[in-house]
Amino acid sequence: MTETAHDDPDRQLVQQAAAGEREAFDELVRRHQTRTHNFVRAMVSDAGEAEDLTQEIFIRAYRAIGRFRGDSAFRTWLFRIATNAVRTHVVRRSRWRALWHRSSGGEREGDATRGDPPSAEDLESDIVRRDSIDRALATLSEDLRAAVTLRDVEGLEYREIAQVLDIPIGTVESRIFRARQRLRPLLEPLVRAPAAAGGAAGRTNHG
Amino acid sequence: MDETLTCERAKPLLARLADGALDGAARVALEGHLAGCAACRVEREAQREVLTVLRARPAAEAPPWLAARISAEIAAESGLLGLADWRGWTLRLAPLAAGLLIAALVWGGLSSTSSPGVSLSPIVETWVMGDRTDGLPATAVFWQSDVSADTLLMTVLRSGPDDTLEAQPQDATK
Ligand SMILES: [Zn+2]
Repeated sequence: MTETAHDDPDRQLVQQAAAGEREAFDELVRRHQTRTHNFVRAMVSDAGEAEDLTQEIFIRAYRAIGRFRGDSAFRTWLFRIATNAVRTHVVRRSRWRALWHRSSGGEREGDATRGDPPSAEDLESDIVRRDSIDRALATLSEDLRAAVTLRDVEGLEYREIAQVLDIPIGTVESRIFRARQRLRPLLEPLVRAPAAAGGAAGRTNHG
Repeated sequence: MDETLTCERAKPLLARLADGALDGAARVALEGHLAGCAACRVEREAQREVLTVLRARPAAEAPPWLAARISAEIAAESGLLGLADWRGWTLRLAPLAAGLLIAALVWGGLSSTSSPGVSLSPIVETWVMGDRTDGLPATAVFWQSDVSADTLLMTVLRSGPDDTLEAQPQDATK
């Protein structure tokens, strides 16, 4: 179900926050922090970076909320801010790493394919499963990673993803297709060892 | 939608079919293609396997203190914005405030010498006519765009209206 501006459950809080009520904005943070943090964590796969970025995203949203026109759901708008913040962060970080690793000749992307794969026993742990998935996601380009994360991790509709990323819906489809194609071999151990029942994030609104 | 699909055109649709977000004519056409194309059936299965794993990815909950940290950061920020508002007002009201202050000082001075005459002091005259560019009164600190809040406050607290800025340290608080 894609929310339009009219049935946006956050509409009233957004109006109050735009009028300067900080408590209303605090409530928006509480409602959206897990979703936002989880998305950012899947995008940057580092706990500390994810926390700082989540904070930055909400602060950007607070500064801009007076200019939010309501032509999309608040959630969609927040994801737009989040993807932009992540993009800026990733560019900054990769420049820094390029500089840092030039002398030692290291390139950290692609680590997911090295080292010992986790054992089937390890994969029963939520943290190990998530870490394996995030390492696989980290091998994708930022464009592909954002598209597939918004769809399969966050459960957004194709149309909403097109809005968030500001690209045509056909591009969303092909990015998701290619992202899954590249992830398939990397996720082999997880495909073979399905999550224990109840281990899932519990979102039911896919499709 | 075209009845005959090439594999190339079928692929983006496979992504949608795999996660149940494809309906209508497009779905019929794609299923027609899949019936005769083993390669695309393999792709569809791979798409399904990946999305099944990703949907079951255990969510990374935000740490419990994060909302409070964000709230505190925003409170601090709106404190600064409040100051900016206050400064905006001050900018507009500064000439009036300065005039009133000086008038009060002049009035005090006049009262103490018990002289009844009402005239603008030379300082106020200069201020209001405002052609003087050297030796600006201390209240001119309000017109500087990058002065810190502390400098601003200290200027107000310490200076008389006819003090000049020459002795002000350059942003001593930083
Ligand atoms: Zn085919």
